Amino acid sequence: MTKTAYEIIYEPNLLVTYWSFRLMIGLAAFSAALCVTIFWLTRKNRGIDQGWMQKLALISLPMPFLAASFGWIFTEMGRQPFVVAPNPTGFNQVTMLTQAGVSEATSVTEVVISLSVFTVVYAVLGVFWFRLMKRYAYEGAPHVEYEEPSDDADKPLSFAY
Amino acid sequence: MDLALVWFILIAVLWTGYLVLEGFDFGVGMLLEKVGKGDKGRRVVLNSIGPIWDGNEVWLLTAGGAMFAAFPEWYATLFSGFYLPLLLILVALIVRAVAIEYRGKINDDLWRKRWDWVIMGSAWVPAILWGVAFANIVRGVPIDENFTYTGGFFNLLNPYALLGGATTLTLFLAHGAIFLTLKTSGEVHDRAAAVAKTMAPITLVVAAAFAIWTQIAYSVTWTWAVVAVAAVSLLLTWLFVNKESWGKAFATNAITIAGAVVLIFGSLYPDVMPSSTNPAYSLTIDNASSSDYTLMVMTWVAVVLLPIILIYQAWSYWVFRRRLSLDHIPEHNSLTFIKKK
Repeated sequence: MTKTAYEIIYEPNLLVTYWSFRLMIGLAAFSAALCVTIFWLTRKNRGIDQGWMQKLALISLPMPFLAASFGWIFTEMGRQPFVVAPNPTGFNQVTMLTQAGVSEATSVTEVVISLSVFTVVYAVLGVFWFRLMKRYAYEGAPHVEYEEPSDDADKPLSFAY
Repeated sequence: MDLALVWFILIAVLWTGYLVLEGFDFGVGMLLEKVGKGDKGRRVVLNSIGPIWDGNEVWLLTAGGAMFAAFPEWYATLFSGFYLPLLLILVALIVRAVAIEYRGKINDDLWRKRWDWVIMGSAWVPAILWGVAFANIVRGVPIDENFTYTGGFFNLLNPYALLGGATTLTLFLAHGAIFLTLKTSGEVHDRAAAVAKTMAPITLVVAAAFAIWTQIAYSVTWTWAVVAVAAVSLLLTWLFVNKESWGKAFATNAITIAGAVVLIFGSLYPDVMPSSTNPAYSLTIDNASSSDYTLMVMTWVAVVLLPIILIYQAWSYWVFRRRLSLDHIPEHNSLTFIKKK
């Protein structure tokens, strides 16, 4: 690298980092608050029959995935243009620009293949996930009879794949 | 003994743990239909690894993570150079995890049958590719003076590497069948026993051929001792399988897998990834390792955490030690598949 650390602009894309961080924290806090609320609503064997709560619970399904995704967007865009964001006044001013970290052994074709494969795999899995969630949301959880705990080795498993 | 050497040995230990444990997971996955036969039988086979298969995968994360932290140059050359084969393994591991979890989520024969194919396919692929990858590392691959792999994809498909793939494949098939004899009873157990009896002599021939080729072409004198141990344990596995001493057969087959890892790492030493372009460009324990400070921090972390991991894994095996038979499998309680609501 010809540039030294002092000539590099340290400012990442602020619009993205500002909002992705807040979305990560906000969505996680929302999910956590919802958990606490449901913990309260289900006290003493109560079921949840409030309509607004059921709607909120449905809406919250993708929240952890979104929070995790925004968290990754925050780190990956916030660290640019470095592989790891350096401390400008730190030891030896060690820096490594993203473009210096690009692997020479891996061709563009290979990266295109891997990104396409991951996109397809996750898209297909996403469709399956959505269809399963929709079915379960429509029809409710399966009814399971309560059984006294037992050490009988011949009884069927209470949970099995 | 310096810390880089300690971590070279520790990484061999982590790979041994991974291949011994996930080896039978792959074997069980590959034999899902062969030993399972029908939905209930398949569920016996699947539930034999049900509580442990994802814990076994942790060993891969630690092995890969230890290579990344202790030998960053090795990790960089290997994971960039073997990009496509490792991508295949990764995709197989991803869809395998999903297939095991999703299989029972909808009560529908076609749904289950499709995921069963995924479970089987995603066990065959890594069972072969791990052997191909390790054999190529031992054989040496084209690496230039910047530690960059220059070989491309098809360079990795050579006779020696394919024999390595056949070795892990047969070892894991035998391992999975023997594991199933220990974890199941009734007709599933009997079918697993039959597979183990078929696989033991095949494994003996294939693995012995790989060990001797490795020893003669790529190794050093002291590893003859490892080859001898592997030969004895292969013979004993065959013997124990025929005597139906399944516990002993499982132990000796595990020793064979460990022997393969020791042979591979023993052949590599003091290199971690030899260059076939020029021996001067080889990655070695010295030139590929992290700084002493990094290695010291890692050593402390490993000393504290490794016993904890061993204890909780051993505990989960103890809790789920019972044999399964067709009678232990509950009815499906998931939703049935309705096309239109």
